[in-house]
Amino acid sequence: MQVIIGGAYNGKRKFVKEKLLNNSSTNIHFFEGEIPTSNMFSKEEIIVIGNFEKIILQNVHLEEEFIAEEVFHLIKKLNQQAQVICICTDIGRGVVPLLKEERKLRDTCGRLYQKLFSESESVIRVWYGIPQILKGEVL
Amino acid sequence: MAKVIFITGGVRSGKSAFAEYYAKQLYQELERSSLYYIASGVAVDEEMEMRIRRHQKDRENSAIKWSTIEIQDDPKLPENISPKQSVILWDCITTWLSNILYITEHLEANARMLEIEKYLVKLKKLFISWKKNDGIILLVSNEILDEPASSYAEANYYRRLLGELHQWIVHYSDEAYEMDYSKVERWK
Repeated sequence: MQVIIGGAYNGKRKFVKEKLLNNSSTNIHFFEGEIPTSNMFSKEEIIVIGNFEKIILQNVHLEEEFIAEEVFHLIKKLNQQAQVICICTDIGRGVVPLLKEERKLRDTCGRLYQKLFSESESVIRVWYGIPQILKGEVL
Repeated sequence: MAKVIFITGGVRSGKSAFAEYYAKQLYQELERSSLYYIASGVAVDEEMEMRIRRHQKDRENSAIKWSTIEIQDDPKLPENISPKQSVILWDCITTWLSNILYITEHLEANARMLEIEKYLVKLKKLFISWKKNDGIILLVSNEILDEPASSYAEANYYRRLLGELHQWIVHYSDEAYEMDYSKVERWK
């Protein structure tokens, strides 16, 4: 599993797409705001998942640690049958949001990202198109 | 010697101090004759006026003399400026982008997008021609993309435009720095 993290509109998807261009032999699937539940994927396939905020917001009434653990579990399971790349939008650096729901989203994202980071072989931060390796090897 | 230098960071991260120091250093080391400051702030209230005055005072008290150029919307430099002889500091382009959003607010969505695009193209052309003619420019901006999306469409539109502009500038620049509470991280 791999993680690409960075602020919004920093070019994270563009970075992933450019990196995967050399990888034309494999099948690449992009998902935004959803985790595919199919078990038809193979180890040669790459699954890119973005917009974890949307996934979390669908369950925002549940407890923070519970949501993070559930999503993490689904990603881990998916990663057993295919190669998963998580695109994580960093939303944890601004002012504490006024609305309760927004605070919870921010906190839950942080919890989930910690789990994804620790599970991933590589973590890359993208800053306006420039990659910085935080963990592991280059994609 | 031509250079485009990009400096970004959160509020009160020390980015202005770093940018001013760096601009003065380049001005002295490369023996340039003029040091320009591009001001884009519009004093909309008392606090903003104080802020602008504080920045002006800082520059007046500096041993090196700054000349101020006002660019509130149309990105154009006075014709008598010689790029070869100058160092320009623009602090900051987020203010300029806000002005552009404000003056195009009355337009219908598509027309507005086209109008904003025109301003952005003109801005990029300005940077390109400045560099081509041996100019040095330091661009300061704000880091506002590491927080949750806003519930206001206008704010997200602003964030997208700024993010895309940052990506372009970082790609085009010779040096790019991120400030984190006075710690400088050099990305490029």
